[in-house]
Amino acid sequence: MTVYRNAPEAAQSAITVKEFNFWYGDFHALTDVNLNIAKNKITAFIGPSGCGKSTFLRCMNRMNDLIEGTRNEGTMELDGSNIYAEGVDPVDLRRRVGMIFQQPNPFPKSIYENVAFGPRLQGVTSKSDLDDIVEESLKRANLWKEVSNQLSKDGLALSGGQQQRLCIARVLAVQPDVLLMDEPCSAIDPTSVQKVEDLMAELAPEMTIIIVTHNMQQAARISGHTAFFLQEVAGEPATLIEYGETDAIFTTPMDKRTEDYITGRFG
Amino acid sequence: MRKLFSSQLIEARHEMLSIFESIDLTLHDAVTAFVTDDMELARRAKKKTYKIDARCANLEAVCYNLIATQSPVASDFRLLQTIIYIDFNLQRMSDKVRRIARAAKRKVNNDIEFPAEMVALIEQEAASVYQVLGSTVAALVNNDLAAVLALSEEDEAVHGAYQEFFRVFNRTETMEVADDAQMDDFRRTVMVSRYLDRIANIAMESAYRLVFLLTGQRWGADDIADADEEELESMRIPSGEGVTLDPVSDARYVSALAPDEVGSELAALIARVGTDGE
Repeated sequence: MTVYRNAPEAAQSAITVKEFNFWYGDFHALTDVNLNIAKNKITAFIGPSGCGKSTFLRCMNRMNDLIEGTRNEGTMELDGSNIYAEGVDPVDLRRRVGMIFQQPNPFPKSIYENVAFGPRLQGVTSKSDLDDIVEESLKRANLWKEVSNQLSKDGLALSGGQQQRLCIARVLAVQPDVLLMDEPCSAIDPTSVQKVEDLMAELAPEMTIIIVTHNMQQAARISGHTAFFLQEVAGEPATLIEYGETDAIFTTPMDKRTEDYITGRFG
Repeated sequence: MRKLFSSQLIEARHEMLSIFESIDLTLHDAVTAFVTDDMELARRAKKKTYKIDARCANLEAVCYNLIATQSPVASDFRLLQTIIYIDFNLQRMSDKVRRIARAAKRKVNNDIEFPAEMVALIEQEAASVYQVLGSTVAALVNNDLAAVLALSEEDEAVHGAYQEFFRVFNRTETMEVADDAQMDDFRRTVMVSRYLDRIANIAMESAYRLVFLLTGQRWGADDIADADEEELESMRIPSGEGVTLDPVSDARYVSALAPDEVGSELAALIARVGTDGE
């Protein structure tokens, strides 16, 4: 039974999930997840390794479709439309629901080409339009000042923190509604972490952001809502234990398992 | 890492209780010094309050250091907030105890004659304060929300004694006062009753913070006055070991308190500590 603490109502949500279950082949990975993701806010998913939070995150842009043998039950809606409905184009979905990974993964191309890649696929061909999109996206990713005079430089030549912001710029260039971030700061230095967190706060008013993080302080700092996932027994499916306003989750968790996890005494 | 942090939290909690014990014992000394005109006891009590202040300052630093280095959340953070709040109140209580000790010295030094009836009232008021302090400590040791609710009645007994003291004082014939300095001395001496009243009130405020520790609700005195035990108990939320540790562990740090002032439950725990030789 999930504990809800002033969780978002469906009406104010970008994503609504009902009775969601997920399997990797025969393995039932997630069971009966019900939650609404607040629109244009930051939501954090926390939990021990193997608790299904990244699996659940990847369900939101159907990244798991790429893994053979996966299946799901229940509903997951983006702005009221089931993302698993027949006829939904996963590629179009992934434009609307962008993703940032733990390891920055720029293409082995120039900074400019990294950012222009998505818009080009969408059919933008005008050089001046692409220039505008690249500049705007790099500015929104707080990277423009650092790279504006070296746009032809290889994206892989940037520092780790800059590469991660380049990846964010690449996602922003296709104007997603939702940004999924799977441990985006775990491989970058503290200064870069701060820049990414500042960037998330700046983007949130116009974009729904969901972040998976193992850093409790990061979840507490940046998110408005927090969802705690847990797989209690090895081999059994994980589920959502407690979900609601971050302040409430981190100051007065109602479930002992949440208390134990966030205070570092899990198990 | 968390084991170390857990032990640091428990140490901080025990230090808070130990300081509470010291204040209670020092208050006994200060009041006894006042009643019996014992200069030496008053001097020792005053000196002890400075040591208590130093311990309070150190405990505050420890708590802030833990917040800065351990980034506590949930019950760990509530416990540290509670300890800091109570520690602050312990400093306030220590200040009042010191004023009582000073008054005791002044009473002897300046040959201030107190009517026997008023001295008896101070003793009576102090006895009620000891009960409030004992109940506060018992509530903290046992995480006892019901005991918190009962505290206001005990505090009313103190406040009643304080009001009675000043009624008697006002009825007492005006003393022959030589000058303003002597008037000031007398006023400060009379204020012992007020200091006792404040100590009880501050102790009660400290105990109220137990509601926040155990429920996460920042209730004020008015909210608590309107609450019933069942309602409060239903609001308890999960807590870590720094909050829920065995009361016997806490009792060890308040074992010098008088058994007849701490309630039967804590008295039994203290007796157990003594029996076990812990």
